Amino acid sequence: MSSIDPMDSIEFDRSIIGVVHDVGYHEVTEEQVIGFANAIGETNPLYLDKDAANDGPYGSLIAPPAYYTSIRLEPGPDPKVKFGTTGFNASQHCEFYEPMKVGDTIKAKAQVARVYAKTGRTGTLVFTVRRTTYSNQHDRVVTMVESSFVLRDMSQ
Amino acid sequence: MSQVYFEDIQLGDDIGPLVKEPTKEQIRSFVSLSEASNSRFTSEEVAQSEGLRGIIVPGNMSMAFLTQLITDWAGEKGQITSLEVNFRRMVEPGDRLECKATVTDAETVDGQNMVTLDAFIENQKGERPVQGTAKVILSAKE
Repeated sequence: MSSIDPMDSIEFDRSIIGVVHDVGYHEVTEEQVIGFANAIGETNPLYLDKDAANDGPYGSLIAPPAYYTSIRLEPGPDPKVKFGTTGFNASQHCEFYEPMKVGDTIKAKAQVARVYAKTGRTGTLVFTVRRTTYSNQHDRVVTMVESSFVLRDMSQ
Repeated sequence: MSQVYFEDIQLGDDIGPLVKEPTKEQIRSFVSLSEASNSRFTSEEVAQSEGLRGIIVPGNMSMAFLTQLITDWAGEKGQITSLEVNFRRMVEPGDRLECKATVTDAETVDGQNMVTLDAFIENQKGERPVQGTAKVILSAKE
C-alpha cells in the first residue's frame, strides 16, 4: 500500500454521504412475482402456484429473495465520483428479514454509505457503497441491501 | 418440495449443484424486469465499447441463481436471512454455471437454528466468478 491516501486526490461530492432519500414505492403484484420467478427458472410453488402458496406458511404468494432487484427505483443520491473509465458491481450484501408478499406496498430508501479507495497491484480502485432499505406497509424493514460498485481506470 | 431439518445437517454437507446456462434471451428477459438498466447486458455493441467481449450476465441474476439454490434446499419451513457475495469475474451467456454451497456452521442462537453456508457459482473452467456466504434458519423436527 502506498503511504499517500488515494482518497485525497479523488474528487466526489462528500456532502451527500449518509443522507437518506426516498427512492420509490412499489406494489408487489402476482404478475411481477411470477414473471421474475420464471426469468430465474424458479420452480418453488411458494412463488408460482397461488393455491399451494395460499395453503403454505405465508398464506399467499411470496416473492423470491432476489425480487428486490426487479423493483425500479429512482436513481437516488449520486456522489459523482470522478475516477476511472469503467465500473462494475463488486459485491452485494443482503439481509432478508421477512419475505415480500403479493399485495405488499414496498417503500425504498437509499443512501450512499461510504466512498473509499484501495490501491493494490492492479492500481487504484474506488468503491461506492450504497445502502437501500425496503419497508412494507406495516413499516417493517423486509430487505436491506448494501451494494458496492467499483470504478477502475482500465487505461492504466 | 422436500424439507430439510436442522437435525439432519452436518458440517461439510454439500448442497447442489443447481445448474444454470443463461442464454442471451434469458438475460434480456431478466433485465426487462430488473432495475439493472445498463445496456451492457442487452447490447453487444455497448458491452464491447466498454472493453468486454460481449454481453455479460448481470451480477443480480447470478445472485438470484444462488438464492434459488439456497431457498430450494431450505424448503418451505426454512428461511434465508442473509447473503453476501463478491463478484470476482465476468459471467457470460453460454457459461455452464454450477450453483453450490457447503455447510460451514450450525448452531442454535436465541432459539433459532442458524446454519451458515459457503455459497458459490463455479463455471465450466472451474473458476468461481461469484462467491459468498449465506445464513439460513432451519426448523427442527417436531
